[in-house]
Amino acid sequence: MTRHLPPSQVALLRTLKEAGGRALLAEIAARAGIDQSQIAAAAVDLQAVGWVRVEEEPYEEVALLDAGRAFLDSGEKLPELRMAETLAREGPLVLPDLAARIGLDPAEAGKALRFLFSKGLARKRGGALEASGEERASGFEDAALLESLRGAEGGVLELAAGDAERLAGPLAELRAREFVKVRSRVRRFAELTEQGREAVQAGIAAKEERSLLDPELLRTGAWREAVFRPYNVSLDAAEVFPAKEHPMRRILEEARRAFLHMGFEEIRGPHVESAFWDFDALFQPQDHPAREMQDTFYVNRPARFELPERSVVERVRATHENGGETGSIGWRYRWDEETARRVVLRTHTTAATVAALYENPKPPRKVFLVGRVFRREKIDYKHLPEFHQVDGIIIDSRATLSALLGTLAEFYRQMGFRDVKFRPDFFPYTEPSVGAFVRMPGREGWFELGGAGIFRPEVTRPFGCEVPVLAWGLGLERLAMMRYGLTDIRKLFWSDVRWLEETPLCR
Amino acid sequence: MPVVAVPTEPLRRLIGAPVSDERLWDLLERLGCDVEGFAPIRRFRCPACGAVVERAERDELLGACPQCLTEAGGKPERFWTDLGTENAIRVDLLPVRPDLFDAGGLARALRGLLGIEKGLARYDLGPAAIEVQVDPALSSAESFRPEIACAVVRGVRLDDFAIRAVMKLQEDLHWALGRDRKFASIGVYDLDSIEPPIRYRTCSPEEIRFIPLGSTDGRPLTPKQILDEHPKGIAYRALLSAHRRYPLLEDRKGTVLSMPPIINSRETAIGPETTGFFIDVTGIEARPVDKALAVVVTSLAELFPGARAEKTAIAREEGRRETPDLAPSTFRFSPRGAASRIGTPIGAARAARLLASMRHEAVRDGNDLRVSVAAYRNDILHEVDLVEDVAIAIGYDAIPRTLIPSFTLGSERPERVLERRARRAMIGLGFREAMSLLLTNEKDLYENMREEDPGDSVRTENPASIEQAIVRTALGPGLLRLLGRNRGAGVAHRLFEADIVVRIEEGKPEPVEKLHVAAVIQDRAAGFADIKSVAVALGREMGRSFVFQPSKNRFFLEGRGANLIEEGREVGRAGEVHPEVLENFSIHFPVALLEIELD
Repeated sequence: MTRHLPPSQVALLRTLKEAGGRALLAEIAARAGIDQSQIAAAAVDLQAVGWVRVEEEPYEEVALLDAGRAFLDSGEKLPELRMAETLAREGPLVLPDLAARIGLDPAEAGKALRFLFSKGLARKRGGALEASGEERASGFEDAALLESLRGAEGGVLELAAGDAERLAGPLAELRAREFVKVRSRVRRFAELTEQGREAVQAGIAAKEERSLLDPELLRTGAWREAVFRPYNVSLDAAEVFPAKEHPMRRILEEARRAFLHMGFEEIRGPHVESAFWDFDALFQPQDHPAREMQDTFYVNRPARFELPERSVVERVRATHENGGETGSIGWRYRWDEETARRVVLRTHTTAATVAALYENPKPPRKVFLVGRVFRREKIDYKHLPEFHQVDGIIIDSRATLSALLGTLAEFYRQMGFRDVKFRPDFFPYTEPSVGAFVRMPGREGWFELGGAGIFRPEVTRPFGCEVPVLAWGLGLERLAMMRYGLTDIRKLFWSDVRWLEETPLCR
Repeated sequence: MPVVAVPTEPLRRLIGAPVSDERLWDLLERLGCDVEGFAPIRRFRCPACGAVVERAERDELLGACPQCLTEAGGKPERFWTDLGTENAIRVDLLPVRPDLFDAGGLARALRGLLGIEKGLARYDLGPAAIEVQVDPALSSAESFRPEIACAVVRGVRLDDFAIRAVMKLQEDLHWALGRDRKFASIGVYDLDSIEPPIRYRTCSPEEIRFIPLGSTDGRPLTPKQILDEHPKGIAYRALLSAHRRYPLLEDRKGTVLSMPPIINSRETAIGPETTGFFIDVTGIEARPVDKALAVVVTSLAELFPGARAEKTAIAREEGRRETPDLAPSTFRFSPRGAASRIGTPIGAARAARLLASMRHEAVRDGNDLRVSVAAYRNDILHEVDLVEDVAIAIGYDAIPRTLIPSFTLGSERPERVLERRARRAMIGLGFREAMSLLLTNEKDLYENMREEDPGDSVRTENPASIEQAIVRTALGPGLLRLLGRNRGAGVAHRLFEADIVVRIEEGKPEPVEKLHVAAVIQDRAAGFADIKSVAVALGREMGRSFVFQPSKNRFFLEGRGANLIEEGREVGRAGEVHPEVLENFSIHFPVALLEIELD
């Protein structure tokens, strides 16, 4: 009765039979055209059912090295043989003379001396060497071995365990000369057992191979008999990309997390804001260039916002005009309330933090927000009319420039920048003011990522805040571009769905 | 920000000590300057008017003289007189520090930091020999430019570097202090070409004629002709558009010096033979006018070490005053206050030394210091401005980095938590997050969606582009725009956005910000059932449930869209996008759309 077996087992059995019942696994694999690992697995499985016996045979693999090949190619005899011949011809000689006579350098002659004695070719006589006139039986086996390596395929000779033992001496000599390398290896034979022979006689056939495990096979249990076609696991599979957060979102979330970790309270603020909170509350004079239509989006629907309570407005007015009660001389111009009521798309998130200062100036307080801001720009590879900032303030009696630098350095450290440097910068609402720069590993130079400072008294006092307030507004798009290696800012919000797919989470 | 290229050799000469390029770069950065780098500059003289222009080595030669506007013709290299090449350091101008705009002012500040010369820089002013008579008409509405301050500088020798430096300083001060000549404009004249006293008066548009600087044909022009024809007149006439009479400076003989803030006359222009300057600053506010004059006079005194500055008498009906006023202003300064603001111990003696290296002068006054600040500094309004100067003198690198020791709790905004959960649910449903701009336009938001504009969007008055003119009231159109823009990037897309939209609501004084989620499915078949499943699943995850009612929204195929109702209120919509809408956004495959209010 024909037995159905996995194809690799069928191949093994048939090949073995053709080979007369015993063969090397490697040969079987080559003849059957199947990967040797599959044949080995089949042999193990068939040994388990007693059809095949697997035998292991140790052997020594002797491989010719470059130095050995070079010697063979030179066509010379081994140096000790040449030395012995010279001694026999010319009588006793001291080693330097002997070496000179056959053109051997003294170091080589020294090495050859060892073999001269071990092969019994010479002996010492006084200070000189003298031919012994006899030679041990094994004396020339190393040369013979070397000769047979010359003829061997690939310069590799396989010595059965017994032969290797017999030739241990010459092998050691050739290894000492670095002519050959010797490795102990094992080869496996498979041999058909009587039981196996009978089974093959009775008829075997390969099972049908399947490409898929389907529910039917599972339900019927037929999977037990089924054979699944093996895959070439190194082939490419279809490329897929997970649904995931926007790359910019990851930066925004990291920035939020950094400040949450540092104990900051998150706030929100409107994107459509009065000029009062965007500029006036921050002591930006009403003729400041940043307020011009050139740079700021003004809103004409709705066109005017209400201002906070009168007393606050009056204190801001006085601060602009003459310093009010802040100890400042002010900007010395007439402050216009209507200008402050105009509506803008916020130009920085500081509009929200200063409003938070107004709502609660009591220290200690640390607040932050991540949000969009707007600047009047046409879209090109460097500019977008909107981008993100992380803005924060620290209201604290112990707030210092030193703590500001420390907080910013810690933020950038959490964002993955080890190298942070600070420089003086100039903003109308902070004093001292700071520019923060980071360095990217593998890139030249420093990149400015944000501005910071200590709010001027002209900013804090009108809101009844008497302690120093540290403040910063740090751009995040530039950081994202550095992280993702972008040269075109439009990629972030503008065009490219592929880029969203392909940008990996860990970057 | 404009850039100034300061030639390094004259700068070193003015500093009076050898300073390496690296050290120069370092010191300027310590002051807060943005240094672009070193670059050779080439200098050329205009053969027509003597103006000196600078070009970076890689720049092409100018086709016309920026001062007299003479055309250089087909071969500019034949026109310009080459004055040679010099190495320069390129620095972004710091608008708050006009006293650092030129080599003279920079050298003054650097000498302080280097310890070569510390404390207040003092400038002797000779007595007023020239009077400027001011017509009260300049304070009237019909020709309003009431402020004027003048000075005289004698004993200058104008080489190419100096001519260029004076022109460039004037130009940069117009930008920084003058707000493009509106608040203050500066004129520098050849002292020998004018006969005092000077009259600052108004004139009618056709009253007189003079040859303006930059005249191509040497024809005298009336003020009106200048505004109509002369390039500088055309460029700046907006400043006089509200005026019926124009400001005019002329000397005793009636020679016109200039028509501020537009143009100087050719007759009084400076040139290589000039040995003295008459300088005027006119404007509409006193502070920038006085500051501009203080900067010009002190910088010229630094640039021309042998020169002597002189006061000028400004005579008005209400009285005389003499300008420039270079008297320092004084501030009280508390070293303890400074130490606690900076966060590093600073004693009174050290504070005084640090202030002196920033070119202030500090004397003890009890526990505090009394600090004299030079008139050319425009940025010292308050004691804290001096604290910054102290921090700069210490060097930001030398200030330790610490953290605030007070304990505070971190806390998230609730809507951020909501937003994150929605985002997670959508990603779990296989949607990829997109982000688009808040700014959009009526066409995308309404017209392309086949909808009427309900007039509830926030609209900008001065859009930079018609594409970004209003603030979005919905997220859906942005996602459709994105699909249209990516029509080359495959067929099947599942995208979502979770972010803010802004709406004007009746009865609310300020626009309302709402958190929305929108999602699109684009595929060969993308139907109502697909998007409804998503709407229901998102609702379930967010703890909400919706009743689906037939929608009349015109951006859905009729009968294939639903409004999502929750507690009787419409909170979202879902459906198959109308083919006309797809066409409007250049989308070639069916799309199902969902948009839900989150808060």
